[in-house]
Amino acid sequence: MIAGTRRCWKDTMPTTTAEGSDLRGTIFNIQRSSTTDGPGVRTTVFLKGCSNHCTWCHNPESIGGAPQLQVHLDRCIACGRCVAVCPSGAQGLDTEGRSFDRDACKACGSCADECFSGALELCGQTMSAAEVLAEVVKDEPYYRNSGGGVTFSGGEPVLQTDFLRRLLSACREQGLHTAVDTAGNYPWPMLASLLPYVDLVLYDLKVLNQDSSRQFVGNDGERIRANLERLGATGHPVIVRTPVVGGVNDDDGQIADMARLIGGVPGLLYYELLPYHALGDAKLQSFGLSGNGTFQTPDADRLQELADVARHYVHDVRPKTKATT
Amino acid sequence: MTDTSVRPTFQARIDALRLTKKTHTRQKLTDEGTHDVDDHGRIPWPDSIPFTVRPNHPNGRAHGIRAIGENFREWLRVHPVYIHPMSALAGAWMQIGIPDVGGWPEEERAHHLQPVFDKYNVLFSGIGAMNHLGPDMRIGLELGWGGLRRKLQNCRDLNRPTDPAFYDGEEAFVEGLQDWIHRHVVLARDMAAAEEDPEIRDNLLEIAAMNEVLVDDAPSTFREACQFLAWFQSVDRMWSAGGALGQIDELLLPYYETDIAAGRLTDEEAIWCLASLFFNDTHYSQIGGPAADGHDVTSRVSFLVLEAMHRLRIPINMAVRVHDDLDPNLLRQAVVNLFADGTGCSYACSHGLDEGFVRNGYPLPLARLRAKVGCNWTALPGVEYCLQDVTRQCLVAPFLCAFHDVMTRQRVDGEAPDMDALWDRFRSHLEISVDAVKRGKDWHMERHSRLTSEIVLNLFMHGPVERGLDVAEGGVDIYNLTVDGIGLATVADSFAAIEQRVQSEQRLTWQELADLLAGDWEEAEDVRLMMKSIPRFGTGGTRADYWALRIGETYGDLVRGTPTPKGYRVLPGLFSHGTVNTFGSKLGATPNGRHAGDPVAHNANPDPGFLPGGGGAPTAKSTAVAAVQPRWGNTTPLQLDLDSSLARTLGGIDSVVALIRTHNELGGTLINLNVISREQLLAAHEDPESHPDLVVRVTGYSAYFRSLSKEYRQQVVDRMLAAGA
Repeated sequence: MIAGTRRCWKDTMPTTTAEGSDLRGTIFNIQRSSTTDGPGVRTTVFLKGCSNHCTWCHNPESIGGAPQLQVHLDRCIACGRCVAVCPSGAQGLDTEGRSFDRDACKACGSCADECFSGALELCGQTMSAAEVLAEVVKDEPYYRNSGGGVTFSGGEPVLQTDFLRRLLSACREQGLHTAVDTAGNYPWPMLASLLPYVDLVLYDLKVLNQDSSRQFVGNDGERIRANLERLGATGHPVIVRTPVVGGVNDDDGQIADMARLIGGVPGLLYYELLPYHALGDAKLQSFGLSGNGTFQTPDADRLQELADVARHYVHDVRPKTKATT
Repeated sequence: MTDTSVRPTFQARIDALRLTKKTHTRQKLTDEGTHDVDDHGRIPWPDSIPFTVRPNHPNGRAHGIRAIGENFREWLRVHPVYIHPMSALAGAWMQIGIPDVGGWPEEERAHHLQPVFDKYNVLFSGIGAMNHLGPDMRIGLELGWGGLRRKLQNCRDLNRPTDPAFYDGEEAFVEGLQDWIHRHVVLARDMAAAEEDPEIRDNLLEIAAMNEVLVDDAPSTFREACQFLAWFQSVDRMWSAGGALGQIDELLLPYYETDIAAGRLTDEEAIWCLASLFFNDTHYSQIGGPAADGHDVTSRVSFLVLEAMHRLRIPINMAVRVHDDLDPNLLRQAVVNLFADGTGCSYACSHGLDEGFVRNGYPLPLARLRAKVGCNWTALPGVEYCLQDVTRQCLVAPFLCAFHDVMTRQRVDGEAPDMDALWDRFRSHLEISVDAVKRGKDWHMERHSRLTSEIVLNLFMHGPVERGLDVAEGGVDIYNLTVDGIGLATVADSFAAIEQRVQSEQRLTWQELADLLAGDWEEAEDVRLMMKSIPRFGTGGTRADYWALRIGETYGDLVRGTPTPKGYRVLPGLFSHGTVNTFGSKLGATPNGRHAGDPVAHNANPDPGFLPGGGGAPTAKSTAVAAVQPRWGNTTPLQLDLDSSLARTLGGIDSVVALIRTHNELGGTLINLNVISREQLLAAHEDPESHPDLVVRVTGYSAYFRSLSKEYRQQVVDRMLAAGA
């Protein structure tokens, strides 16, 4: 039996630790050849931990700040290696089959290190800035030829402020274009302290309606709105992105409200509408959680209609379903 | 000027050609089953060709150029004639090879080398192979068939050879070809007489008039030049499936400019002529790229070629030659068409090709002229005998021999195995294998021209006719024989897996590994996955990447470091064609977690799912393949299969353009690209008939997906799924 309950993000804030003189952060993925998180060919570094709690989140593994064990039972070959190394007795294998007690699991990763079928994966590992940079610079020639670079995403990367500053600074020293993909829910000085090292901010604005924000994002959204306005005041280059989630924010009124706010951002490059997708549900299952819902993916026509609504306030609106040639 | 207002649109004619091509392919599949090579332009013909060889050898075959030429003439005299009424051009070919003509008799085969080839899994030694060199089509375009025949006569008179077999054979061949063309003139007139549609009748009469001229004269118009090339590629294909046109935009540019200036050609008609040429066959060609002085040769014709491909949408083997000064619009248009059509051009990269060829001691201006004219390969048009893409050096078999050696030493001498010993044995076995292949090259060169002949390509090279020598026996001045390694990632990951799991972590002993390999990982799936899950080649900065570099470099040095015993230079590349199943089927399990009989790694590509977590970023793959290039002018292609959803991301096309340019900058030599949705591909794999139009680039060549065998389709599917995992 796979048991488990959802943990609140506040209980598992991201860890930024100093080991010796080397500042370390918590990373849960580094994705090369990314073309969806800013201009050109990019490497996207996903930092773990988020201060929002979006119920449709397509990266639910990013919400908790501490490493977590992902379990993909369909890949299990029942070799028993995990049982042999688990120090807390969370892994089991007997004549009745495979079992995992998530509450007992300390997420130490011992089992994942021994699981070669990919059934057990530790989501999140601490890395130094130098280690992250070593991965990022591998694709430098592609960035140069495409106008690309590195994007720090999450989760909410800004929460690991000191570590992210170290990363951004190191990338700048390498001459790499830097972008931060943020959802804006933190005290403004955290982002402000990073901006000198950031070429582009990808700002995720999900809902403005306070009730909806409380229901679906986990807060009233006021700090997110205020931080976008503060960011706008700096004149920093910004791309604002809204995941359009059927049943949450896919009505003309909400998109118009957001576009009105976004239209006032001086450094805005464009406004992007991204269709919700349900990939997060499968990931939730790997954490022993169930999906949240009943969200719909808007079709291409609806995205175009919403883009037209937004264009009343924003000159350049880009629904993602449209191929750009 | 052609009056298009009273004719079927040129697009309608192109559409008709596409439909016919699909019908032909379906018929060939019904008649012959799947085929894992280019979907050639040959057309299915209901009747067998009434040809009987006139042998000159006790084995009942015709050998030697005179007998070959005379039999080729007779073959063409009975070969069917074919004109598609919607095509701009006449002619088609029906089968590869003329029955019992040419080839190598059994007693001439290199039987003494076969045990070594068997031991080292050298399934394609290159001995007796043909046609893999690049012609200079300007020779024929300037002279025409009559001019070529007169050149033969003049050179015969000048040389007064003791044995005029060369000229006898070549003249007989050209005579047969002229007769074949003339029969198409008659056919066109007959078809016109029976045709009720006035536009089609006019087209047939134009074909008749054009070919009446081309029986003897050189082409003078764009359409005539295309028709000349179609005749060439038809007979070149008949003769052992040869297939190369060269820098097609440059070849056709003078005719295009003259016709446009004279007002007798429109771009629409030019596109139709090109589409008709591509319908005629899938010969390999190149557009764009550097001239000898380095300037880019992209012209209006280059774009018309792309447009003709886009409109015809059948398998076509065209390469864009990427270099620093390539017209960015041409490259971008090629990628735009790739996204629209799913497949299209390959991308030959000058940085790796030109700079590699220069390392052999050739001037850069000459290296720039080496055109991409084959599945994976380039050749100097008209001046180089290179025999590309016919010799495969299996890297995996020497590794397995080495592993067996170190285990035997442990058992017999008590000598503990280690990585140094394994490497030493690997290098030693690879050297023996390479030396055998080189001796095979000498064997080939000593016999080839006597037994069979490059009777078509001789006419389009600088030297054979002038000297009266076949291109394989001194007809040209430049000889660079080639060999292609196969299975690099399998070996690199195997070295790294042993090093990490056995040597460093001591999770199992050498003997335990040997036992598991012998039992093909039976009841040890966890260990197999453990060996497979090491940081693999392609990740960058791993031990497997180190081993890949070391293996690639060593293989390159062994091949290129010394010539054959007779002194021929051999240029190394890493290219598997689609034969990874065939090679793998004869090999036992390998320490990288591969099962016995499974395919070996493709080209020098990392194995599918090579990145931690199972993905395969195109940038990582590109960097890895660029890094292991032997860099001697032969290719090591990068195979990329991209999900079409990339097109829906902003800047997706520009990102692919950047990827191509960067791979060129890093020293890459060739990129083969597909853009397909995984849903489409999986559905087509499940039911090939459900997607009859799906064209994929299998390796260096393109083909209808449904025409491939299940194993080849599986290769493409595996690559695609792993790329997006």
